[in-house]
Amino acid sequence: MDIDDILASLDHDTTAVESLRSDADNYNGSSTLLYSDLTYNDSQTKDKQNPNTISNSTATTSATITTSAQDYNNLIELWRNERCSPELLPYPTKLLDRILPRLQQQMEYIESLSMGFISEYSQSSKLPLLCMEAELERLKFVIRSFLRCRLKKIDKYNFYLQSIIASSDTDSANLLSKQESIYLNKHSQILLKLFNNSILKHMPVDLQAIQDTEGSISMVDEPKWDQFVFIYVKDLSTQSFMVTIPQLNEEVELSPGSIYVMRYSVIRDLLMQGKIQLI
Amino acid sequence: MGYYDIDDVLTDSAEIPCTFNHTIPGLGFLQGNPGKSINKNTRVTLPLWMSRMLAMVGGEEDGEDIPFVELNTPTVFSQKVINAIRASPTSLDIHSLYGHYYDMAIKWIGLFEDEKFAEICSELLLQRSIEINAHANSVMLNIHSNHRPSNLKYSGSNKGPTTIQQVTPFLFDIRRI
Amino acid sequence: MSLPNHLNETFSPEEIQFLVENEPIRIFPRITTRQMVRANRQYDEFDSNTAKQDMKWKLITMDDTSLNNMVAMKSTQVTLWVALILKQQAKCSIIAPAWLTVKELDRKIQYEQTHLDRFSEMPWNWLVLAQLLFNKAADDFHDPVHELRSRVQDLREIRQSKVLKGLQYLNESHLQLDNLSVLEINELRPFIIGVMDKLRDMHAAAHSGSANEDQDIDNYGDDRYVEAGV
Repeated sequence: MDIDDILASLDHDTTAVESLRSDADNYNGSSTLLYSDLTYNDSQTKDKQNPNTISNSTATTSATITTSAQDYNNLIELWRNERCSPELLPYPTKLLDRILPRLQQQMEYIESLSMGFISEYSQSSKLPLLCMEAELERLKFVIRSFLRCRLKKIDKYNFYLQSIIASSDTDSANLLSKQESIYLNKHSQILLKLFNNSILKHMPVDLQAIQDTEGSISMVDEPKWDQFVFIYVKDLSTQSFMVTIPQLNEEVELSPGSIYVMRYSVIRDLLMQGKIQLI
Repeated sequence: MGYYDIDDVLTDSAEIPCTFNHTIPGLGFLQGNPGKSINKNTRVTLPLWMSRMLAMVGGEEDGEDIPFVELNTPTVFSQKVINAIRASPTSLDIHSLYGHYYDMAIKWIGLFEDEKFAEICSELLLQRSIEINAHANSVMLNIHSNHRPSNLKYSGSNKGPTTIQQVTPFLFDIRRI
Repeated sequence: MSLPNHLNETFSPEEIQFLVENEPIRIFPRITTRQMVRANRQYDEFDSNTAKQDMKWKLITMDDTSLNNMVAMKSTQVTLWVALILKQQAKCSIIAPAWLTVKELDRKIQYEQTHLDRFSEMPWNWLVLAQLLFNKAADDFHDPVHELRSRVQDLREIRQSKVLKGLQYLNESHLQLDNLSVLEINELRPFIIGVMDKLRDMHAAAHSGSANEDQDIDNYGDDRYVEAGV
């Protein structure tokens, strides 16, 4: 190997990495609203992806790769948020619409590699294949765990979710994916049928309600809004956030890069804006 | 705390000693005299959910609004118990007092907005939780040291105050079982 | 259930390890993947796919440029889990992070012992990373692993005892826990949240009077119920 080649390619690499870095920085800096920003970011990616499929130049390829790395990091963050938050968070439609086809493509690619073409490659090629398969499993794991966590919450807050969706808040529009809302509807139907057939129809009519709010306690379980959660204030800027705990009339300053234990209701807005993450 | 929270339901059935402020006809069954009336100043124990209602509503007597019953402090919140808590929160057998002690305390505090008792209870909870956590950690350490005999427990007792073996000698018996 | 109860609102140690494995680490590869055979150079400009004999690394969750440009014994940065696979196949050695040396750990222990009221600055993944590297890349350390291991253990215990002392200050308001690592947080989580939730309820009962049952509903959605009968 020629030293010039190495130097030349090193040069090339560093610039590539730098441009990736600044890309990432831009992304971070502009991501004021994580959950809605996925939309914003999405339009950018689409612009990028289309030329990629046509031309195969290294520069654009690396751009998509960075995006997929960012997408993965976003997914991990959303997964952690979902696992730690008491309520169901909005479904990241755009993000998963990008990740899932990629997953599918990769599966097909690996399939085709291991089916026929493997003999064309040297022995050392087994290693990338091994890693690609491992990566696939890792990605599948996160997605699966993420969706399972959501399903659990959909089960748990069945009637509550139905009621907020019925009240047609703008918030609730992107709360569930298509499949999830089908699941929610079917599940509650089955549950209601079970309640009805086994108990409720044997009761007096005025005791048949399952969403009676007459008594002191609502029959519909809501997420525990005041539950304590661990948050990490992202290092986006040097600016810190002031939050108020209404029950205690207390103001708390959240400085970037710090970890706090806080009531969920207090930091919910910051979470939705992507300024903090749950850990 | 939801509608179907079983602990909440159980706590609501905790028995509270009450004194009737009125003579009420027909309530004798609460005392074991069905059909009779219940007399003023009778002491009965009623479940929390019922006594709470009766303590909030009432009838008029001598131009004053007096609730049907007066809530008396249950033994689990008596001065004697509070003194014991003050003396040593960690050496009290709370479970034998009442299975849902904290939940009941929260309800009791809510009834009277008793800040003082809330503070005592918070301290009780905190001290006991810390103690329990220390025990739980020592179990963890012991499990680890079983896997890896790298003198984890010894290095612990030299370097830090986590001399868990001394704190909880009985945990070793648990392991032997 | 769709998600086992023990994973509800917390993570298993394996999942924490999974998170840590997504972080970058520096390695010395023992293989070369860079496609820089001089004869192919001119083609590269036009189409990078021609004249490839080795399989290209094509990964969908990370930037695979560094993996496609590995040069033997030239340090590069890859994702930890890839590094561990390479290591397992004896295709690289892992460069331990700067803090994972006897000298540096001793300094941290010193700091922890002199500053009883705060934690030394450790990376968020230090415990898991140390554990992983001790188990899977023990031969890549310059310092003897048993010494490193005992220092990490000491550091962990000092910090744990500080945490235990710090638990005295749990309250119904909030808590700041800087410099605690992800594993340390995860093992404290159920305890801290359980206690603080109860303290909050007690405080609320004493101050908001009548119904602390309604506490949880608070600002959100009191009016969100619908009449959806059976």
